[in-house]
Amino acid sequence: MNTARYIERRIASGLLLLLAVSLLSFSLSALAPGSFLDEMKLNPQISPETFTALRAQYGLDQPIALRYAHWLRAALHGDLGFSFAYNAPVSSLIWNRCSNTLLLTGTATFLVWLLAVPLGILSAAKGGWLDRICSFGSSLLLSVPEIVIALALLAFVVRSGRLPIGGMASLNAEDFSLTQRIRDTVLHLVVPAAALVLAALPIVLRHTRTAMAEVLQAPFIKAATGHGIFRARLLLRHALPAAASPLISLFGFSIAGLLSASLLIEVITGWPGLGPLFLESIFARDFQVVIAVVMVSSALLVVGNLMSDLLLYAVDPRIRLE
Amino acid sequence: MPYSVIFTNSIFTTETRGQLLISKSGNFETYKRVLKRFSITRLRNFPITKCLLCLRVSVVNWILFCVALPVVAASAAQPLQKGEDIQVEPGLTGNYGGTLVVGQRSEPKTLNPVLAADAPSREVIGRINADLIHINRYTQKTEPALASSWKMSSDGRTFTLKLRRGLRFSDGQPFDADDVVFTFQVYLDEKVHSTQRDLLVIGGRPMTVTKVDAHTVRFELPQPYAAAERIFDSLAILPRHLLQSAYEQGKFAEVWNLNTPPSQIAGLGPFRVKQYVAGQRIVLERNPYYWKADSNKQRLPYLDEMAFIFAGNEDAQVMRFEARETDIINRFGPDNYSVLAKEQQDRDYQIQDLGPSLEFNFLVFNLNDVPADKFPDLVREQAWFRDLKFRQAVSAAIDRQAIVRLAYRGHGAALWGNESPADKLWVDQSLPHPERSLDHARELLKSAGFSWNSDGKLIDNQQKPVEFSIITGSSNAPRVKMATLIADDLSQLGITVHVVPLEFRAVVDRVFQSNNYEACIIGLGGADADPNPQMNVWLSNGGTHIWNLHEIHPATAWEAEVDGLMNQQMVTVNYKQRRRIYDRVQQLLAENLPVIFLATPDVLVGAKNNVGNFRPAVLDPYALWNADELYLRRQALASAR
Amino acid sequence: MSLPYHRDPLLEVSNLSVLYRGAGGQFCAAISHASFDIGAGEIVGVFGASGSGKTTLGLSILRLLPDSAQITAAALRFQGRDLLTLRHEQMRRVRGNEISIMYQEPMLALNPVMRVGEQIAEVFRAHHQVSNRECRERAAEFLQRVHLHKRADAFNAYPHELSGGERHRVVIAQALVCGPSLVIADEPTAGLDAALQNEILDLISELRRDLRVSFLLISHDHAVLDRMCDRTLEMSAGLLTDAAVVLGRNGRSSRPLPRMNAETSGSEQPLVRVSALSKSYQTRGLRFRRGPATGVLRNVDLSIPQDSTVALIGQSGSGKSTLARCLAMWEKPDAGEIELAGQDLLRLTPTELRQFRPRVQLVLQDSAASINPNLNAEQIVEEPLLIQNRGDKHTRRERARQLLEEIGFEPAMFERKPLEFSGGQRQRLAIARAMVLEPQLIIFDESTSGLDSETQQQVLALLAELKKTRRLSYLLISHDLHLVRDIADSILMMQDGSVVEGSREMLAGSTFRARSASAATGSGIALVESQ
Repeated sequence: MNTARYIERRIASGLLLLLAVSLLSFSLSALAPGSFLDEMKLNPQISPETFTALRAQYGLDQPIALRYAHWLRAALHGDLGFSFAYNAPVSSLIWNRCSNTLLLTGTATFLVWLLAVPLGILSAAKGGWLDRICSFGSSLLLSVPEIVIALALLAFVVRSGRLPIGGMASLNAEDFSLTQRIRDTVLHLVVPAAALVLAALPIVLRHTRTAMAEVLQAPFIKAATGHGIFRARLLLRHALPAAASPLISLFGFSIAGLLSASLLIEVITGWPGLGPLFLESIFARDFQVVIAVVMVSSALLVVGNLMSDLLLYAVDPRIRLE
Repeated sequence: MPYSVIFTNSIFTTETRGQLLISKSGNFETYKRVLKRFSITRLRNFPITKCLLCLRVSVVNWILFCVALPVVAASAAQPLQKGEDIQVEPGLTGNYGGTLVVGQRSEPKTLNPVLAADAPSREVIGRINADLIHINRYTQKTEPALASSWKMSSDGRTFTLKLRRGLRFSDGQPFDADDVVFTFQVYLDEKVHSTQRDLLVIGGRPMTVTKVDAHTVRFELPQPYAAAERIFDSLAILPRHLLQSAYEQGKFAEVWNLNTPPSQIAGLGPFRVKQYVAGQRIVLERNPYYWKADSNKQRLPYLDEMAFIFAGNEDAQVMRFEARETDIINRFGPDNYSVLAKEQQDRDYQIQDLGPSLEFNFLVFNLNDVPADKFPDLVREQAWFRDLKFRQAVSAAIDRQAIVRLAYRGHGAALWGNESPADKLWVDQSLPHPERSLDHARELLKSAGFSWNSDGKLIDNQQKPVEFSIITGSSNAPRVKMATLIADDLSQLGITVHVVPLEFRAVVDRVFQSNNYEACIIGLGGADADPNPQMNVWLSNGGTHIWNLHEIHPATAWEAEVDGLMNQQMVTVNYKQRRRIYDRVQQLLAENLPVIFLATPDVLVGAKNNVGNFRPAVLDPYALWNADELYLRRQALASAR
Repeated sequence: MSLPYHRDPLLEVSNLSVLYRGAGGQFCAAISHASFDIGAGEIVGVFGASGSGKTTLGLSILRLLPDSAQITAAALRFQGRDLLTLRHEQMRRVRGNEISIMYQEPMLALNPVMRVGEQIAEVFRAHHQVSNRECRERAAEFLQRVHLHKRADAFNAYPHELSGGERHRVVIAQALVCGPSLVIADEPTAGLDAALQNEILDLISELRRDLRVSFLLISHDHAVLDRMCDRTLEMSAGLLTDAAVVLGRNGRSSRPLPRMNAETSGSEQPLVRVSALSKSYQTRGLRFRRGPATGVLRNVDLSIPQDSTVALIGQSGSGKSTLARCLAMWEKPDAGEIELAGQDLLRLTPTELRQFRPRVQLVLQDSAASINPNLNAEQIVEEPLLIQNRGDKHTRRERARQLLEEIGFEPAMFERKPLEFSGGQRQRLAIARAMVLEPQLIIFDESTSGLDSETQQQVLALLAELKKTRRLSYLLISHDLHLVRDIADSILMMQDGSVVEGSREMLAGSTFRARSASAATGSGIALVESQ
């Protein structure tokens, strides 16, 4: 297939997906009971008239279809809406939190692959106790929800007192020099990133192991052994590229998984990303923010998948055959 | 040059952050010591060849310091000026310096005092703004603030306030009566949709404000209003010079959000905004023009800075306090009390149980007139709920002490009426506190025509078993526990109760919107220690008349009496008379049980031991109400944070 | 064609036994007490049916068997060194450098994601401490030696971009690039048509002459062994018949094949009619850029009558497989018409196409690659029914079992996975899978060419058997004239993308003989012999 058309098609399907996501999240938000203003009902000092006036001002009295149409038209012009709670445009809320989330997810993704691929290769190639430890460890980690991992890490950190408990930077971080700031951010990253890595590692590890084990059984690897290729080179130069295709596909998925897991971890560890904003907005029924966060995460996902598709296209000559 | 920069960094890493902070904030002595120590250690530890470099580093530091000095000076407290009407707090002492770190559950949403509705925003806004007349959270009585004195006319309808002279907003601009008039114009503007507007509307008509002279304003009330001076509490006085143009362009809703540059925000509170980092923290710095001083005539506040860091949830807030990352924890749940109490000694902080709060939790039955075709079961059940004897029986069967013990882990108080013991001035001490009595409950049920079938289940006179469900907000763990305890208590009467925890907004939606519930546990209150905030709960046509929202006229005789009493207390200026009227309201409510009062949680706060003048109160904002007086003891400043 | 035979042996094997440890811990012998030797420059052949242990013999010399195999031998000496006592690293230095191995099925033995030049260079790099450039130069040199230099982009091609013959050449280059003294060649010509087989064998002879290298040639094809080897050993059920020279036997069974065209009702319209079919491919230029188009099919016309067996022969690269793919609508032709029972396939809507799919089935040469290795036999046969959503779970299973029995599987084999079957059994499985949807036409694209002749006969007999009870047509694509002659009702020949009509009668005629000799040189000789 022609490369340009391939990319075009992937982008088009990504955009369609985003549209579907927006429609779905809008309908779901309409189904959720209560509205942003409900909390005011509990305040005896606010009269029902004020409440109705506010409702009209926020446009909450309009039918959902009309609200969706308004939103869609604005979104097409790059306007993600207006947050009721923050009295500010949603985009101003999202962008710097988005970069924090990307920092966390990016670090975690990097670490996960950095750890999982060599471990997976070794455990597929060596077998024995290493394989058994990896498979036991990954089963164990798989069965523990990431919340529990994060809480356990936090509890440990509180006890030890060596690491900061939450947030992303120390209070006086702006007084720091660049290297200190980096060090400070890294220290703050440890807990959330470790929780994410521990949650995602077993999946990637297992896939790597399976893909490698399968390739190591392939005739061409036996042939390469027969040609006297070094073991290490055999693994890295011969087997790994051949096993890469499923892993690259998994890469797209792993970004998705890490992104959704990170929203949760962020809430628990106080990382100032999209997660806390998202959760709070859901509880506050600040749906413009909720939908915007969903859209941004979906867009990140689509981009991640597109990247892995293109990478696959570039790496595996067999894909280009059709 | 890059090399020396890197070198500088490595030196700074050897220093603790606390000292660095102090050095930046102008504590000259400490800074000199810090520098001296570098030089000495450097010289000792490094070969001679590096000494020169070291010297250069010191020079760089000195230059940095000199650059920093003017910046620091700008935010240092201004000496008291002649003609400035400063309020001196007798007996108050403390020392300057430091940053107080407070953990917040969630981040503030706005810095606009007129529109802010959420607790974290108000917590921050309250530190950067001031009101005309303030309620002292400790004494629960009013005290002068921006208005140094006030006078009410004999008919109770005219209020004349004298403003302090020579005051400045935190940006240095002077404050006068025009700012007050402008402020109230904004609050009263229907288009602005301030949530506080309804406070200023008395008997359906707004109060008016006029400027008498540059330092006198007069408020005209449409009718006499008891404790009118309390209204002014927490109504932030806005700087006209900054906000008028936006207001006139109809853009008031957009001003002072979190993205507004700090220079555009000014108030009369002890602090002003220094920096906001989305999702992480908001840092306030000293307002150099603040209008209070301590007994040594030193201008308040003591603290250089106050930082609010956003923890995300209560557990994170507690953990960060436990790890000594924050200095004060402002209110936390009873479940965390024992966790924090265990480490008090080791970690050098103290936590306090301040006693009951103003919040009152209650069980409410749905007494709304709902359409029978839509809710046939509910309409049938309402025959029980409307029966006073049934409600009395339920109330008698509930073990309130158990609720306090189990739901609040002992950190709460049982309630038999709508006023919490925290409301020192208004709670009716003579209200009976009947013990739990299942026998009494059974008698009441029997006399109301209920009976028990062979299984021991309670049945009504239609032979239908008595069974209903209680909804409550799932995020409030104590309320869920209360519901479970009540279900258990009532099962001993043969009543089957299902506990249905729902997400908070879903509960509100059911109670206030769809009326699709049978019974609900919910809480109200916490605004002020005065009867007036509860007007809309007890007036039969009030918006928060929770058990029957759609009444236009009182449905029962006692409700009519409460209506009359509440309206009467509002215009009664004399405290003793007013109190007598309000006691009667409390008695009526306790007798007729429109809702079944359960319990109130205690206010739990904590602070590091080095926080001086820490005097938390049961009124919002609990530990932070005297933020201008809080200080960090000297040894705390000297030691590394 | 043999070289002078040097008496001191290069490789000396005596009493070699290979035991496989089974699941229960008991051992079963794959090779028992084999003894032979190979002299320098000698070509020794090993003949044997599939499963006789000849591949194991080849692998055991280089100690390439899995851990579950146990090798014992009185001696396994190569140039005086005992290979069994070498340490791992020493053994690695022998592999590919002194003794190298050519695996069967180059498509599988080559790394699919590595450029072939690089794969040759890799072998050289593993044994020589030289620069990257030298490795590549050496690889390029060997590409030249195996006559692949004519394709300018051969070095940078991926295996799937090469033809079958070219892949064989790459494997040969890999085996010889380090200049070994012994090459173990496992079925070096399997799956090639006669012409290519000749070319490859000639190439091997040529290289052997130039490089003075010994060969251990493993094959099931007597003709190959007869032609190449100085000596031939026969392997049967793990027993090596020492020096049992079986020269002169033809290897083909003389048993007459069952005729498939029972009764041609003749007059009906043909099942398939193809007219003016053309197809060309974009060759890939530099990355993301198009190269020039090359025509593969040029104005092909043909028709397949109902209930008949039509054979299509032709050299590799003549477009046979492309035609098959077009007929099965796996690929869309550029121009022309394909009619199936009067329906124009090229104008089908996607839904109609979906309904069409079951009516024409394609069985490929490499059944192992087209079967999901994770399913068992029963699931494999059931799968098409599941995809087409036919019947319920029970009837589907019933149908699959019935077919499996028909192709001669025991119930015990139903649960086995494809890799546990032999090549012949896998091929039958593929046939059963094609059959399960009751198609009108089954296309066999070199479906039997990877099999030894005995198995080939069995599979063909099965095809004939299956056809008896069903109304269906076969299109047999093959390079083997024998098969074609024996079972087909009519024969089509394909040359450079065009179809030349042939007939059974033509096969006997002298006009065809000349043409078929040019199309399939090797088999042409056999054809003359057997007449």
